[in-house]
Amino acid sequence: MAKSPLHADDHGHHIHSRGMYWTTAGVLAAFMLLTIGAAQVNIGDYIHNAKLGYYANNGIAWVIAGIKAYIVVMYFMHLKWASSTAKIWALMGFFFLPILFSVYCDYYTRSHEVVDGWIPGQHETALPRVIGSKDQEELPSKYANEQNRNPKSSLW
Amino acid sequence: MSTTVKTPIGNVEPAKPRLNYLTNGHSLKTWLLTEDHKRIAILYLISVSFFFLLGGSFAGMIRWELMSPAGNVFESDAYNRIFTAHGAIMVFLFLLVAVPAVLGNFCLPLMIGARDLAFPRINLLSWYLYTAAGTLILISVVTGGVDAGWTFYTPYSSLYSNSNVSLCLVGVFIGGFSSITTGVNFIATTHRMRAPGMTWFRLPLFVWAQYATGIIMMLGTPVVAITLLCVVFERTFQLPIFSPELGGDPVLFQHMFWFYSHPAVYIMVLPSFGVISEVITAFSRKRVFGYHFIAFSSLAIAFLGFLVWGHHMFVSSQSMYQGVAFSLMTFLLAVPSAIKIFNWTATMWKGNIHLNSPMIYAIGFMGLFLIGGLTGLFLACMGTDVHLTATYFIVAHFHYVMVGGTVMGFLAGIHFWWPKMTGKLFNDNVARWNAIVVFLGFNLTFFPQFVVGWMGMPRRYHYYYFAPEYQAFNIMSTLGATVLGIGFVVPVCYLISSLFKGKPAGDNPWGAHGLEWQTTSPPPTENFYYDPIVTDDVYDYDPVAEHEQYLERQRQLGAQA
Amino acid sequence: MAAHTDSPVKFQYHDIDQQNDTYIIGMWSFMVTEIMFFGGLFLIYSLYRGNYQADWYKAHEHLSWQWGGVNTANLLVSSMFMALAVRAAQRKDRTSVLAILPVVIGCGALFMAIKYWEYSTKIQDHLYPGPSFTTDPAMVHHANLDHAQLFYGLYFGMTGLHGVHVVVGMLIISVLWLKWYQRKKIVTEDFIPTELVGLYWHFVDIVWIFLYPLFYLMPRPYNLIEGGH
Repeated sequence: MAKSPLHADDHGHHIHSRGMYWTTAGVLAAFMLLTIGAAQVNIGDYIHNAKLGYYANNGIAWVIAGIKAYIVVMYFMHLKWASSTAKIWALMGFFFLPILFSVYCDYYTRSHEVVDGWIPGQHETALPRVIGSKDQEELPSKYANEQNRNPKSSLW
Repeated sequence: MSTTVKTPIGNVEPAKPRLNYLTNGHSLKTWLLTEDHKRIAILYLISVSFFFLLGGSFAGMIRWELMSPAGNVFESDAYNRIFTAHGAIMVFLFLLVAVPAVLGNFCLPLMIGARDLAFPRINLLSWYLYTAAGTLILISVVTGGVDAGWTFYTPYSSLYSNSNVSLCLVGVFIGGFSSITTGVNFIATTHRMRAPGMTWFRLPLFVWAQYATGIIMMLGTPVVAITLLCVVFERTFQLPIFSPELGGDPVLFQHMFWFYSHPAVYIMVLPSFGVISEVITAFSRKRVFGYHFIAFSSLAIAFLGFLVWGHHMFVSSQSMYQGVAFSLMTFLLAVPSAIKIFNWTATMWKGNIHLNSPMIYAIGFMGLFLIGGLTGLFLACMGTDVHLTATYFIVAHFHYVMVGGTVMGFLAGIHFWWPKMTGKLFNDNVARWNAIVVFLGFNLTFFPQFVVGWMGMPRRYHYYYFAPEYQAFNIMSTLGATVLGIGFVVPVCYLISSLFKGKPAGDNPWGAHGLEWQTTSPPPTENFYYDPIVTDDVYDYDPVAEHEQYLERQRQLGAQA
Repeated sequence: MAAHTDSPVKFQYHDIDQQNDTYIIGMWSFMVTEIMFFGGLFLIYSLYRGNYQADWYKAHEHLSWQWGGVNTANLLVSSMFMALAVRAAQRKDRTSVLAILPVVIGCGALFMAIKYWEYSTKIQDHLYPGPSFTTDPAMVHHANLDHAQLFYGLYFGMTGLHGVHVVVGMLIISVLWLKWYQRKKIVTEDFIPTELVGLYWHFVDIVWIFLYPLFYLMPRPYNLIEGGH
């Protein structure tokens, strides 16, 4: 069969050297050790700002995981040499996942509402509107362990 | 469409008596193990029709119960199970599947000049997954039913419901895989299987619609799959995920459920948009107006559809600010839908309109979808939504969109492509009258529900003795449902009878353009005898010449009879 | 169709390049669905953890980051061997493929064995959610027991689903090995089937790359109140 003009761009596969895979694996192993190491260090203790340190710790873990995933995708999964259509589709998930995570906008704005009746605690409601709020903390629980209750949650 | 021919496919020689895809193998095995997209479409057509009639019979029970305010036909619990069965079967086994899996499967490769979908075996797998899903959901209905509603809201579905929720959810989960595999197939096929010269902007609008649908199927379905799987985990493995008593958030379930299930509305209706684009153009004998706008509005709907899910949750504990954002986005979403309606209307303007049955369904679609869409704006307003949510207004709204949109589009498409699928002409006069009956029956069923919903009748109640003034509207609705039911059964009769008594259709009975009309009816297994090369866009109608050709064809058909 | 059975090119394709490219696009778009699938779980996880940071930190201390690390390394090694197997397939080097794929399966089996051991110790400690969940706060390092249950619910749910993916991957690789062993043309003439299996296996590795820091390496929250000593 004649090659159709539409599919004429170069998709011939590259055979990479074994060294490329060993190097990639080595870099991944280094990042793995780095993320384990970073988790043993409580950054907050060093910069004397517990909150910032906590976020830094989390951020480092996420960034390293992201870099590792990027390396796997690009080199082990050969996306670097794939067609642009495949690249677009590979990125699509990472584009739509943040839309799913926009659920956070809901949880972060719940505590800022202005209508009186919606502020939990001020008015009687059948069910506590904010989960994990004071209302709910007073509900009896089979496993109640009041001393160790989490202080009022930050998120909702 | 202008094409030239190229390489002959396989060892088929035109001089030999030609086998088409229906005659190429008669045993059951050649059907059940087929990898031919056209046969799989027929398998889907049969199973989808079965579930449609089944779901419809549950709707009949609902209407029967609501004839009287006392609610004395079924117990409350039985009624809950009936409307859940109606919703689950219709949504998961009919609406999400019907147009893409039947018409999309059949037409997409033909329209782009491919010999098959990219992954024929996965296509077959998707039908088996669908069948498994249907079987599980059927078992769950037969062995006691599900009472959680098709939305399966937690914590009722996860903690309290004492019915076959898990089994039904596993069925839905498997059905989701069927949907995903169809989506993957459509996407890969559209990207890489187009015939030479079939550029993106020469694609039929139906293909654009299927592509946009594929995107939603692939990005949305896995989210609902994991959400429903979490409920199954919660019920069977006691893993607390949405459990409020342990600090989980049941509203998160609603967020994740609607993240898929709102775009799912566009899985249901976008393919129908594609059908309508084809039908309106073909029966107006005119180049489609605003091709690029219709094509890109499909993609815009696919994208914006992911940003509006919160309008299902205005009365949940969702934050007001998020609600405002979702309300705005919902209004925005009306724009691409309106673009389509305007473009179809403009396509009909000064066209040679032929009122064959597909066209009547398509015009009916436009009217019904318009009402459905505009009443959607009432519900997109947070203020009015508080009054209207969970009333029959919302039931009427989504039936106008789902039945008026998807089912009318499905019927239009089935009538349009039936001669291509079977090679037989059906009785178009009966079909025209039936289209009008469906349109009227539909309006009689659901328009009273707008009124009674506005008056405050809540959905999912099986009695309304507290407000007997609702009864007149409910009786109207039940009457309309009877008419509608007849309107859905009659096509089954005349379409099946056309298989035995219908005249041969010829390659192109409607005089439509498009690659699928350039092969024989029914097409051969390889779709084309020659690899087509496309040289112009698909809607190159010349209205005057088209009309004369059409009259000539009608004369010939009359002479044959 | 019959005319093409001796060729790895399916009848609907014009040439091998078109077929391979289509397969890659299909696989990547399937991968997107997997990303969204696990993405939903990550959303649940992140919301709950954001809300119950201190409790989840205390509950997570029961998990062994060392064994999690061993599993991470384990999957990394298996991923590398999988990539080498794909390379061997590209070079049509049947002997190497047949030698390397069992190593990949072995790594997967080791992963599942460690997972099994981890699960069984958790279940012995009554850390499986539900009625049998422990009532002893010391078991969860004095976290709120309800929230700890939520943590273990997601722990078993997410790592369990990942485990299912690992098992499915092992089965697929076994089938692939068998095809190579039988010298089926579908795998020996064209490296793409091996590549697709590889893509899936790497994806499973990527999920674990995120799961490991999320479950085993939580940083100490700033609002942690030590209690119960």
